[in-house]
Amino acid sequence: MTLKGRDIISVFDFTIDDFHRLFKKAEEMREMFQEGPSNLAKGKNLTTIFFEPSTRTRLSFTYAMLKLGGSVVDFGPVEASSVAKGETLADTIRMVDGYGTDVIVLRHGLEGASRLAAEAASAPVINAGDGSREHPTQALLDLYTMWRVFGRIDGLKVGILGDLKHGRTPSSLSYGLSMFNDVKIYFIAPELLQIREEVVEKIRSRVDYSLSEGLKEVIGDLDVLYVTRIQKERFTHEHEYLLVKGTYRVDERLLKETKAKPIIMHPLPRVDEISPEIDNFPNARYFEQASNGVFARAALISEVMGLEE
Amino acid sequence: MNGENMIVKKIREGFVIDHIPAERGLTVLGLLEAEEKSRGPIILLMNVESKKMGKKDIVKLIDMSPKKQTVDKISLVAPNATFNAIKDFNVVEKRKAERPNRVVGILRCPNPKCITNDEKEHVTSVLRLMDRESPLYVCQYCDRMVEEEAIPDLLL
Repeated sequence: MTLKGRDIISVFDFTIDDFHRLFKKAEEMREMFQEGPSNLAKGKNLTTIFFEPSTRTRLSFTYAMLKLGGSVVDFGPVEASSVAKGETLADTIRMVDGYGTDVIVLRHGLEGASRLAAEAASAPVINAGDGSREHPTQALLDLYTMWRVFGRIDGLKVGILGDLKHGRTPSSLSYGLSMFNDVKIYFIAPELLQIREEVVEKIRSRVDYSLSEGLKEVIGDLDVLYVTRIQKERFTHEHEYLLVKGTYRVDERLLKETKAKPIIMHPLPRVDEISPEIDNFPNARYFEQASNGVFARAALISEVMGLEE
Repeated sequence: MNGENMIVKKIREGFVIDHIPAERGLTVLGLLEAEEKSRGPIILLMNVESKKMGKKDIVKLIDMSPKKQTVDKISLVAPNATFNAIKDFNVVEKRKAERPNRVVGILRCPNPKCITNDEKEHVTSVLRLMDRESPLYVCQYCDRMVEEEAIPDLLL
């Protein structure tokens, strides 16, 4: 079983076998791309439609497709399209689908947008983030990064830090981790920004987890510290933000105080939650994680398009 | 129900909705008002003693019976209700409420950021029953769950 022709809307569209197969395929992509451009996706097209800003996701899908030898069309800024005239998402997707693209990569601010797009399109739709709900390909590359470092996901202790309430990355990563064995997830956030109940509800019976406010209390237990951005606009008062910001900053001092050193990951962009002074630490894996996005997404594109190697 | 002890007399023709949870009778009445345009008189009995439920509400419709869509909506707010069709003072058909597996355009998704709640997108809401045993519905688009208590406020 592969993912040929399938929509990827949620992490739950993957099985654990899919993850293992995609990790191995991403490794093959890495080797293949080192040898030069491929012809695997020759004559195929991928369309990126981003209703919200993105750097890494859009670019890594684009690089992945170009390295596979296919073409990419970007929908362009929403303000310059018929969407600005009031066109519905379903109509936009029907149009792009009718032009003959082979896969649609969609980011949208409304939750459920990618499921609606998948209903409207005959080509497979890959969700590149819908509101605060999910970001399944980010979870794929996050898990791939952990798998490369540790050679396994089973048994890992993963702390997820920051704004867990409004982010789509923490939910998708938690769903992904919950499929592996003996994993423990530590959700570390101020009460105001703690993980949503609906996320906990979906993983409760599948994985061991804990909720905490303090980083220092748990950092020593972790194999992975996954840091996410805390946005100022989520707080009513600036002093609350400043207090939280200081508590959750990952810097040289914090890492020196910690005996067991977890690897540090971040979906990026970071603002100042990770100090640049630790960028060259061997445990800082966030740039490597971003690069892994190209290989993981190339593996996914090749499966969804049913490309033969 | 024994005829002599009845607070409101039996109806000759029409429809009786029994075993409505106490305090949900007004919601059922509101649904009937909204859904059934050519309606006859309606009787609402509230806080009636019930062996099974403690207290219950009953609605009697005279010379009319509700459409399937109305019955589906009532089943969502009164999942243990019984629907009795009445002819010549007798119950000629009796059936229990059944939660629909899929509700299309009947319930609003509780998630304000769901695409079905965006006016510009014109998407009809679709909610699925999670399983027969559970009263939880889930949005087909954003996966948000709907608790049983929230249903009356989410009816479209």
